[in-house]
Amino acid sequence: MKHCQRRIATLWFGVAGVIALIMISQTLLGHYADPGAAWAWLVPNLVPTLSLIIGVLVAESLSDAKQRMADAFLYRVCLGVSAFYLLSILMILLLQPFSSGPAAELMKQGQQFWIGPVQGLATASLGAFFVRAGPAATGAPAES
Amino acid sequence: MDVFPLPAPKPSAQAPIPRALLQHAGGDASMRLGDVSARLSDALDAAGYEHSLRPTQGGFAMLTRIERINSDGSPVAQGRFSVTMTTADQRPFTLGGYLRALFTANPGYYRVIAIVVSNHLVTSGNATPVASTLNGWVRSGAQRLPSSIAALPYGADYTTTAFIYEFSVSGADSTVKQLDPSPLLGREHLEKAGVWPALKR
Repeated sequence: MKHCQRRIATLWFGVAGVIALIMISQTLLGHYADPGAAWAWLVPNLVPTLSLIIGVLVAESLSDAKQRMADAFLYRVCLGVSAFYLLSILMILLLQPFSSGPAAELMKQGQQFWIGPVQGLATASLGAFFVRAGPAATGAPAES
Repeated sequence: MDVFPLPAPKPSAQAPIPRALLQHAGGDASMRLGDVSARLSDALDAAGYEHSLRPTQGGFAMLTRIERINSDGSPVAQGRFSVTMTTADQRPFTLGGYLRALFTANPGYYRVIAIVVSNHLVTSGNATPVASTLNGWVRSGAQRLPSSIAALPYGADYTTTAFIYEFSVSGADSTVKQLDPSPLLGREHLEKAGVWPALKR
């Protein structure tokens, strides 16, 4: 379980780090006329989930509970939805140069059409995986 | 029809067009405003511009349709008269161009040229021009001078002045701003636009 959680955490922090670096560079180089609006779009899409992951990982590290077994299917769903969600956000940034409209409009449309709904799925699957921990393992874990 | 106002909206650059460039074979004395209009029209046609006329105090103004330009004042190769003002790079894809567009403001530059022929004092005021208003004037302008104006002699009291209105669309939020002043001189704009060379022919 812990191993699976760390893999998902690595995915989230890795891609979120890339996204943050792109946004910081864009802000410093004057890409956005209104950087506040761009960050106001990004922060709620990443920080709550990253906070959840950190909280669970810290709690797990302080706990002396036995190693639990992860559900392989749930793990793959969680990993897949997370990857899709993070890439959706990354694409909003990377495809801006090809868009004829303002970035704020692209962010608004992306949020409305796919990021918002996928965020719900990602949060639900992560919540199930990180928060609703299963019973302690008695046998070999499906994914450890 | 609305007149082109004098004082003119605040330009980004301006340049006087000497009489010598407008003169035809018949000499200065026989020139009429209609001849000047035809000369300017031919030069703008040769430079690839869509243009139209509006009356102004003591003469007329010839305006060009808004065009996308490079930072050096030359028209862009593709999408020169694209309707949408955007920062998006319309040149062929390059990695350098992509990274510049991704990280920097990557401004798009746009220009309207207004050539004012008048025997009044031609000055410019502090009114900030709006790109869409200027472009609207071009679309609703006339294609030829009324004969009453065209027949007027282009006397020594007439001046011909080109006002350049340059705009940048900066940042990912597509904020439109007038360049005040333009980094280029008015004469440089006319040369890069191909209007000055056409007038010299």
